[in-house]
Amino acid sequence: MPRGALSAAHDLRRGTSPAGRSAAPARLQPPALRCAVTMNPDPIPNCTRAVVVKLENGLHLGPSSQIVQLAQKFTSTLVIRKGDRKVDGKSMLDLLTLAAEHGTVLELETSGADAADALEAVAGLFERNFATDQSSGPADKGTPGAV
Amino acid sequence: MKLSDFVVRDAIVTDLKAATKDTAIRSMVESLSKAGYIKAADQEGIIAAILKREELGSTGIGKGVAVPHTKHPSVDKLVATIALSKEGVEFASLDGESVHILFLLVSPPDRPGDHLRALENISRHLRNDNFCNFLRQALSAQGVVELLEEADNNQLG
Repeated sequence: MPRGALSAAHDLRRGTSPAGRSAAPARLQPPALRCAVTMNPDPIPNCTRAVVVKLENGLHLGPSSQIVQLAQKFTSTLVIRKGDRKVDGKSMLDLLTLAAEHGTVLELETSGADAADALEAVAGLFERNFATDQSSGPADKGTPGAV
Repeated sequence: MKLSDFVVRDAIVTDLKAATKDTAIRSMVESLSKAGYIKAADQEGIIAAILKREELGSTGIGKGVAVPHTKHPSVDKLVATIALSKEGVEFASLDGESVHILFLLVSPPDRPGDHLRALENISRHLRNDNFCNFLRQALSAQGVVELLEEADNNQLG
């Protein structure tokens, strides 16, 4: 078994995530994006990234709707965490219960075959501060489902 | 923040006859005006602002619910009303379904936090199927008020 795979298996047994698809041992994690491919039985890619709500009025109905509509274009699940709370990012009612004000840090977590693309797309909304002057659906990201 | 803090009980409409988004919003704003929570002179401006907001994207959030809203300088605190439609209102909702429960919110421009907390409150209760079902079945404003109070007191299970 390659060394990286052994290391990843070791990480899994300890209940920790490998620090990347190559599961390089004892290396600093990338600053923002963390993706992991679990080994067995079914490999389900899982990605997380922290984002900041920069909207002056907070994450109100309009931006929440953008998140839901974008997330629904992907097969991966989207969980959004605010502190101890976590909600389904594909549900408007769930998202609105976050009441995330300006400056709130949220953690996005996607899980599924297109997790990396889904995370890029949704995190992109936050980075563009939900400006709607460009498209960001999976069509821009290559084949949906590809990781 | 509780539902009964910002939902104006005298403006609740339990038999909304409107079939379209425009007429539903107009009817709800007029109801807030009649209850004395919006000045008659501001009524048209508020209706126009809410409709303009709808052009950016429907506030029909699914599950037969819509939350039309706007900021407006004529109010100094958040005011809201509820309308119930038996027949349903075509609202271009996210899930394509017509709308049976409407929460209309008008908030002061300088209080975005209040607006967020009101949305949080409304959506938290709407996730409870008991709340949704009882609300849709309510026949009178008094029935709605009692339901809101039960929801505020977490008595709906």
